[in-house]
Amino acid sequence: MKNSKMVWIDVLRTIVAIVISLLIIFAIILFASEDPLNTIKSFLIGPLTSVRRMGNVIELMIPLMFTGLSTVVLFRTGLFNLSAEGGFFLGSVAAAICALTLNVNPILKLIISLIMAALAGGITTFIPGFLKAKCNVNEIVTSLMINYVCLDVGLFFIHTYFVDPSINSKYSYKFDSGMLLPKIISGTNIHFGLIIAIICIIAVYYLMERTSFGFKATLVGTNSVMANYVGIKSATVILGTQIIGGLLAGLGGGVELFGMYTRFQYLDLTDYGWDGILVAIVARHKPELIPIGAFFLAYLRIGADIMSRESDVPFELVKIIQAVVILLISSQAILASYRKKVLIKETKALEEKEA
Amino acid sequence: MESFIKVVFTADFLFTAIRVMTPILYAALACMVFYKGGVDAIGTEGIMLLCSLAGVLGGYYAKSYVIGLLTSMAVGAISAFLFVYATNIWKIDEILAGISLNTLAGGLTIFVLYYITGEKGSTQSLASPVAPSINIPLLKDVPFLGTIFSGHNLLTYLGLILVVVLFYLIYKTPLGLRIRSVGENATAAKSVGINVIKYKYITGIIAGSLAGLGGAFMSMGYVSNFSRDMVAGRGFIGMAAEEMGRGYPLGVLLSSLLFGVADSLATRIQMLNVPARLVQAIPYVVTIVVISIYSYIELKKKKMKKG
Repeated sequence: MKNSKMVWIDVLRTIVAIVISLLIIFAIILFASEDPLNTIKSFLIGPLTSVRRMGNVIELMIPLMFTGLSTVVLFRTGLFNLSAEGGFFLGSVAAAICALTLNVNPILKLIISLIMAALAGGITTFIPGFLKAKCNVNEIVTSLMINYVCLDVGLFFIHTYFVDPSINSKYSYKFDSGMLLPKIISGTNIHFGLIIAIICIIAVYYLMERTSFGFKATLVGTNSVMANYVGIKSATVILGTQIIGGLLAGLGGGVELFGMYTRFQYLDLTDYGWDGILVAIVARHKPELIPIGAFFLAYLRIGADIMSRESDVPFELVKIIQAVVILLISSQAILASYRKKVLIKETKALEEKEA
Repeated sequence: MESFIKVVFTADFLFTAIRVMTPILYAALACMVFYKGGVDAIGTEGIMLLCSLAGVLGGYYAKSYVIGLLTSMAVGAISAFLFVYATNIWKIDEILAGISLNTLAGGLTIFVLYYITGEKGSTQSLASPVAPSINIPLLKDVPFLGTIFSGHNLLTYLGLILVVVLFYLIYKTPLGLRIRSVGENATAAKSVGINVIKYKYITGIIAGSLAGLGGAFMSMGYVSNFSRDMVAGRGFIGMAAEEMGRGYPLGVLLSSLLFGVADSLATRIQMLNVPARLVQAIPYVVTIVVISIYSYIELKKKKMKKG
């Protein structure tokens, strides 16, 4: 089944969904803008017009890849654990606390901080997963609540112990400049986090698609009855995925902090967790396609940002696109009849082969 | 400790707690109806946000708060109806559709706001009407109790009345029975001839209107204008309050009140040099603990039955 047409149909469906949503956006711009052609131009072409802007797209891809990857792993076993948002936030809090308290050489400090960030994320997403697996608690509600706990507890620590009184905002003290992630492309802010993200994608791809753990997780997610029947310990597999998903989200929080900031500045949740869901959907929940999903969303964001500065259409247009894309891609209706035809044809072909 | 009691347990504080509770109560009631009818409630957050803008605009153009409230309810009902349509006819996953709805609300409200007022922050420039506060005769003259229970917004009282009305509707009427049977086991309901999708639409319309009133309270009662992302998670907290109240109207009311008390406590307690952020986290932690205990007990019961 490796060369099955089905994979291509799924890709085609994604593309159709994206094209339809872009058409809807053009329609909105046509209706809302005084100068629709230039608005569309700055939205679509804007990010390509300078190295700095292209850099912005890649920079934004980095946190999106982490939370997107996190979502792929978190959702793999069929749980809707939405706490990547909290994991990302608490990850950056943990990273900031380590960065401001440890007294070791910068490189070691960076490594410890990132490990602590990942652990903080792992603990965050573990809780809803654990409660679901052991007590059958609705993971959507607990994960949403956990997000707020992360926000409140995280800001409590930062604001109580680490606020720099010499500046006017509630920002933390500056991090040791030696521990910030180095920029890897001059003229942009693209930082070493990109490489960490790519390593994570390769590792997750290997784990989820090439090991028995990944296979078990997929089976638990697609057919839990079957998984139980063949003797897979669902609870263990679920807990594994929930921790790994959180490690990725938390690490993303730390990487973003040391890549893009010099102080801890967040005053609210970052929304990267929610964005991760979109990224995962566009990537069809395949780890290897996460960069495409992240690129798609990052490009839209930067495009919309440029558009809002160069035209009369506000940035929030991008949220409308996001909503439409989620709906269209997750709709089973697009190309459904075509998909069915191909499925029947392939099954028949297989049956004939067997006979 | 003495100062703590002085600051916290005042009539004024309890008044605030009820005020803060109101939008959460509406959200929780909406979630309750959604769940009863077997519709996922994660979109409540977005519906409330859409409705808080719709109410202000409806009220502003018609120069009447009643029209504002009705606009909110209509927008809520329509969005929930479309949600049910999309999830059942287009077969979109309910949770993803809900997330999409929340995302859409965050963008669309600001988009519309920008085209109407030219601002992206709030509708302060529009003189929109607000729902009135009501002093209850006799009760308002009773010391202490009068201060706590009188003088609330019309919508607060309406919310409390709706707790009773919904109890009656869900548990004492044929409509309620059908909604519950669709929610508990759609296949079984279908087999006895109930039109499942019809009752899901009805569920959506009732729940959406409730969420609409909650949204309207935010922009026409709690404060007097719409500002961006003003629902700020109250829809999600409503889901938690519903879960903690186990789907019973009285339970939902009490758990909403818990959130109201904790939230106003956090605001108050800042005066006493107690970390407000930690106090704010308490209701979320309590929710997680309480619903875990419930679920654990239920799981044990099931196992007992089986074994």
